[in-house]
Amino acid sequence: MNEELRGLLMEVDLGCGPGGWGWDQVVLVRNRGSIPAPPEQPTRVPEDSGFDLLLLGPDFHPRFYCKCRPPADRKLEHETAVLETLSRDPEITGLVPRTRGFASKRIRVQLTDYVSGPLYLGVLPELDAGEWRRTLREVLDVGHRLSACCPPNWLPAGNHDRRAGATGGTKASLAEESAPALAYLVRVGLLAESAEPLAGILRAAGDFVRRPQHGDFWPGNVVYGDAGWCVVDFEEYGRIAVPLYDAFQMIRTSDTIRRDAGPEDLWLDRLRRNDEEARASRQLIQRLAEDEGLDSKQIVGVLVYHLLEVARSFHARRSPPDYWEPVVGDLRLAARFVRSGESLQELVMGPA
Amino acid sequence: MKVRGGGGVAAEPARSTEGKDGWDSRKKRESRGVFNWIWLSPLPRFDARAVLLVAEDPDLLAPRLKPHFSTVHTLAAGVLSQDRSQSKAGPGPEHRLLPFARDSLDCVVLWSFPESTRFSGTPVPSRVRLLTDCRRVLKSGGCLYLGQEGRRLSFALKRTLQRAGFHGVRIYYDRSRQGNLEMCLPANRQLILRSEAWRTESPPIHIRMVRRGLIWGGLHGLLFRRRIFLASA
Repeated sequence: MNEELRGLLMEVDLGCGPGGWGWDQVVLVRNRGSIPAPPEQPTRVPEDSGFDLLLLGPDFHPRFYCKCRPPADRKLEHETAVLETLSRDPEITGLVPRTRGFASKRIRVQLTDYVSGPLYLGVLPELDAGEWRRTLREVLDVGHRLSACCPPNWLPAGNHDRRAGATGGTKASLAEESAPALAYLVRVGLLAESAEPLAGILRAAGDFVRRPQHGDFWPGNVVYGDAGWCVVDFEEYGRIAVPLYDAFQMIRTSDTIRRDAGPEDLWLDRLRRNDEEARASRQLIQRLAEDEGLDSKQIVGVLVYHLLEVARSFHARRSPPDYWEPVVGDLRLAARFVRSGESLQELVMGPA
Repeated sequence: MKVRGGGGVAAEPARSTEGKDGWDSRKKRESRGVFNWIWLSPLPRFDARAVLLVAEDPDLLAPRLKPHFSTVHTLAAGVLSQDRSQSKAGPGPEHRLLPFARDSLDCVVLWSFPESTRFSGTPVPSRVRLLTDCRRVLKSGGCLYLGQEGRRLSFALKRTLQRAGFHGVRIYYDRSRQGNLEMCLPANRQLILRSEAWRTESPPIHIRMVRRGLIWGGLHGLLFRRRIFLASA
C-alpha cells in the first residue's frame, strides 16, 4: 500500500500489528475514478471519483471497508460525520457500522467495520409473502429507530444539503417541499397533464414535522449481520426530511425486487391487485401512519412526495429510463386516480 | 457474502441498461481509475517524481498519469520493436532499449507487456533484456508496473522479473470484465478461494468445482484475463 494511505490507516489501531496490512490483505474494489482527478476533467464531480478498499484479516475475511475519495468529496465527509455520530449512540448500537474518517491533502478516507452477512436484497427473492412481511416490518422498525434517534435540529457538520433548514423537529409544508421536484418533472415534460392533481394531493397534505431520513433506504443498503439488521450508505442522510420517505422507498423497492417486476409493472397497479403482498404493504403503511401520527391525506401526500423526489433524482442524474419511468408511471396513475374520483387513500391504506 | 459498499441515491433494483443510447456512460466512467493501482504500489510518495509510460498509444494514457507524477515520459511500444539487437551487427555492450540514464526514473509503466516475440506486428526485444533495462533506469526503491493480458500462469514472468533484479514482486488479478481494474485481487491462493464466494453470479456446480480445483492447484492465473505485476527496484 502506498505510504500516504498506509499512514492514514495507521492513525487508528485496527489490530493489524505494527507492520500494517500485508499487500495481499488489501483488495481494490469499486474503482470508479482516479485520485487525484486527471487535469482533462477539472469539473468532474468528486463523488464520481475514487475507489473502495476491502481490508482483510489474517484469515482473509473482510474486516474493514474503506472508501477513498478526493479530499473535496463533501458527500463522504457528510456520511462520515453522520456515521461517526450515529455509531456512538448507545440506543442504536449495531444498527450502523462503527466508522472513522481521515483526510490528507490528496485523499479522504472513510473506514467502517465490515458487516458480514447477506444483503436483504439477496434474500428477498427467496422469501414467501409471510416472511417478506415479517422481515420488512423489522427493517422498517430499524429505519424508524435510526430516524427517531436523531435529536431535533441536528445535522452533522459537513452537511452538503443545499436546502436551508433541512433539520429535524421544525414544521414545513409538503407542497412547498415538493415544489422543486414537481416543477422539474413538469419542465422536462414528464408530468405535464398530471401536475395539477398531484399538486392538489400535496396541498391537502398540509404541514409535517421534519425528520431526517436515510435517503437511500432500499434492500441493497440493509445487511443481516451477526448482530441483526445493519444499515449502510448514509451519503444522503438528512437530504430528505419528510417522515416515512424511507419507509415508502423500502416497501416499494422490496416489493419490486421480490416480484421481479419489470418497468411496465407499476407499484400502484400491484397494490390494486389485492393479493397477499398488497395487503401486507397496506397494513404496514397503516401501522407506520399510526406510529407517526399522520392521517390518510398526509400519507398519500408523503407517497406522492416520495415518488416525485425519486423520479426527479434519477432523471436529473441521467440514470437509465428503466429507473425513473416506472416511478413516473406511478405518479401518472396517482393523478388518474384523482381525476377519476377513485380513492388513493383506500388504495394505499385500505378501507377506512 | 457479496462485497458491497455505498450506492448513493441512484441505487435501485439493478437492471441492465447497456446499449441504450445516450444513457449509458458506464464504460466511459469505468476507464477512469486505471491508475489507482498507484495507491497499492510500494512507492513511498508519488509527487515530484518521474515516470515512464510505455504503451501502444501512450498519448491516450499519459494525461491520467500527470496528477500522480511531476514528469511523465512516454514511449510508444512500437519504438521498442525497432530493436537494434535484431540487426546483423547485434547490440553493443552499452546498447540500451530505454533512452534514459541509469537511476533516473521513479516508476516505469509497461502498460501491456509483450507476450510473444512480436508486438505491434514487429519483433520485440527479449523480455529479460527489456526488464533488465527497466531495472537500470529505475532508482532504488522505484516501482515497475507491468500489465499482462490473457489467461496464463504467472510463475515464469515473476521469475523473469527477479532475474532482472526486481524484488517484492506482487501479482494482482483484474477481476473486471472490461480490463479496467474495477476490482483488483491479490494473487494469493487462500484469498482467491475466499473471493469465490464474493462473485455476484453463481456458475453451475461443475464450473465451481473446476475453478476451486484450479485455485487449489495454484493455477488460478488461468481464471483471470488480465493481471498486473508491481515490483520494487
